[in-house]
Amino acid sequence: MTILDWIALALLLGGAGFFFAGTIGLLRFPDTLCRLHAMTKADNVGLGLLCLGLALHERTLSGTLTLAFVWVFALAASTLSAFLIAGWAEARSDTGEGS
Amino acid sequence: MLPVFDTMLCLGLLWLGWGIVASTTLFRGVVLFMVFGLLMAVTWVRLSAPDVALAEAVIGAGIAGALLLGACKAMLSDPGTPAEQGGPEPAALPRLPAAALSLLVGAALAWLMVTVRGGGPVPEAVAIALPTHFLHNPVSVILLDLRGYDTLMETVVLLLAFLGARAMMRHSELDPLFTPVATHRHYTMPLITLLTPILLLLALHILWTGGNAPGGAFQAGALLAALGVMYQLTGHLRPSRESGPGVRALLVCGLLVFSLFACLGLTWGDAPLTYPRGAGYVSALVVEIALMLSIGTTLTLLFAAHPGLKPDLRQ
Repeated sequence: MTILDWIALALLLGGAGFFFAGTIGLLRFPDTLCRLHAMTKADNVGLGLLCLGLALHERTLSGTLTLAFVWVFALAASTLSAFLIAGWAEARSDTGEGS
Repeated sequence: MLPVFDTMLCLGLLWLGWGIVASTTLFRGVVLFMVFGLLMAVTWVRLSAPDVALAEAVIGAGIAGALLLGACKAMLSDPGTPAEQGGPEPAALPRLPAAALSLLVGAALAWLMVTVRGGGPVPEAVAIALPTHFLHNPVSVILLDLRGYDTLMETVVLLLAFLGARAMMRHSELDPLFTPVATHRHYTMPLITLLTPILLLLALHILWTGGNAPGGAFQAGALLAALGVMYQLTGHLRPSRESGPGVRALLVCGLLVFSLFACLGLTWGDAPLTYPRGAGYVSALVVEIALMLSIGTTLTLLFAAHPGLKPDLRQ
């Protein structure tokens, strides 16, 4: 294994760590907004680290571009759904239905 | 590492399957079903069947999941469900016989899969046809040429399914399932403008590469339907009780073009569903485009649970 492979491994493990922490946060945090916070961090940073690690391991232009697209699309989807869920949760707590 | 991954995949599928059957709420079951579809798609990739994996991901996890979620929401928000009206509760299925029957069918299918070698009944025919065929993807060769009848009949089944659903729509006075929230437009508009060209490009790409690589009309049509679902959820397309001539034409164009092509086979060949010499690729492409449009329209309308759709141009 070259030094790049070791860096890739470290990035992959870091990404897995973010997903692990995000999942624990999703399960344990008390309300919707805190859970969203944990979820989106895991999505954005965790997946970013995974993609970066895989790109370092792959080391081809097309592979790197594909992984970059994967990350950007997941980022867009998670950002938008987080905003929509947060808006829904806020509207619900405003009408006194609890969260 | 891969055997470990495969084992985890199998155990995950079994666990999810149990979770779907045993879930206490409808919503939980539907969400688990969608996750099951995604894991199933990964499983198909591991089994070297990328065509099936694509179809499973877009139809099994995507469109079916959206349909089930819509039905789930309709049942939750509809105060007139039989149980709450005090009407007769649906009889509980006899669980033990049902479980025994499922296990027997599952065991029989597993036995068939294990004993059949070489992945299906027609590998020789494909191996003979493939080197000189105008399509280079064995799955497309089977779907469009060797077993064209099957694909034609599938198109009929899809149209019949929609007609059945439409008959139900006429008799039930369901409100539109989704009332899009206007204030969310500043979130959803960027997504629409970003995803519309990308999804269109992706659908056409999957259709185009279907001749040489995994892909084809079903996957492309389901991607178009995903676009249709997104437009409905964001309020750009609204369900309507009237279906215009355009919608009707889109619904039947797949079957129409395919049947026409099947009959024309008699004029340039000696059997229906044969491809003309030299123009095989073009004919296959025309049929695939028509199929894609029909599949996309059918799935979009099924999600709308209405006979038609009309654009909503208020911004």
